[in-house]
Amino acid sequence: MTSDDDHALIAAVRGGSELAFNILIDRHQQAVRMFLRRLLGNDADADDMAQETFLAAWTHARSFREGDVRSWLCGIAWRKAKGAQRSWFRRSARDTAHHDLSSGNAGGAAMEDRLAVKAALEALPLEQRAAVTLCLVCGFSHSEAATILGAALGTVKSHVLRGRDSLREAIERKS
Amino acid sequence: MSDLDNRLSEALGTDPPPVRDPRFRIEVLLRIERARFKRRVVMTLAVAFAAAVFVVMNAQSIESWIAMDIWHVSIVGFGVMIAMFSLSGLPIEALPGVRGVIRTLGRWLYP
Repeated sequence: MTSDDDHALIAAVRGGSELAFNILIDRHQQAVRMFLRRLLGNDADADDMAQETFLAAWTHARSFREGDVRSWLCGIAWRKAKGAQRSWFRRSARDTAHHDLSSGNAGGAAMEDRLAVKAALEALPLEQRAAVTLCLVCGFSHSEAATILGAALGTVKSHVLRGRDSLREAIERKS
Repeated sequence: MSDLDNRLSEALGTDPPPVRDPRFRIEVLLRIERARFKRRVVMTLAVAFAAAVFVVMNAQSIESWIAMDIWHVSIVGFGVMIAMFSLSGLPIEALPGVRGVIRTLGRWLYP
């Protein structure tokens, strides 16, 4: 899979090709959903927003100029998450509280790490959480993350550094 | 990479969504279809509303124009037939909230 392939697919999507859009969804749904799942902390809400992201991509395929398609999609997802910030995050915190409690009973060091990291990630400010997720989970570079978030490169670097420290501290505290 | 970093990346990478997920793709396509349908309904209703307003505002002129020739009656009849045909193709109840309004109206009319 290359960036040229993605650009050809976007060109076909602009022409109304649903087949090309299906391939685009298959290629990038995992990254977009992973980003939103870590950002929102609730899988169902994240998947719902990921679907809205792809719907927006279909509707506004003409707005894609150049660059990486995955970054463009994550940029749409980020703007949607930021726009719906207040209502989504309040609901997601309430809905996941029970799930976390029940899954915490499963035990094991890995599970403890996971819960500690999840809690620490949710405690981070939104921009910082997004930067950490993009760079440490989705594998974007700092400059790609800066483009997606529409932030300065230095800001993203500092967000990732501070965010990673917080997550490491959370694991250390747990052990 | 330290043990802590390993544990961190392991914790961050757990439970990823599947690489291929046909169900997710179908959900997206359904949303696209729903959005298309809504757009079509809104467009048709807007055109129908504009046509109705036009007819109401020019009722007298239309009436005298119809009375001028029998062919004019056929033209108006044909236009009305097309409008009814296109409106009947729209399942209006599928729009969000419409079914609720119909149910409430039904309860109010036939308690």
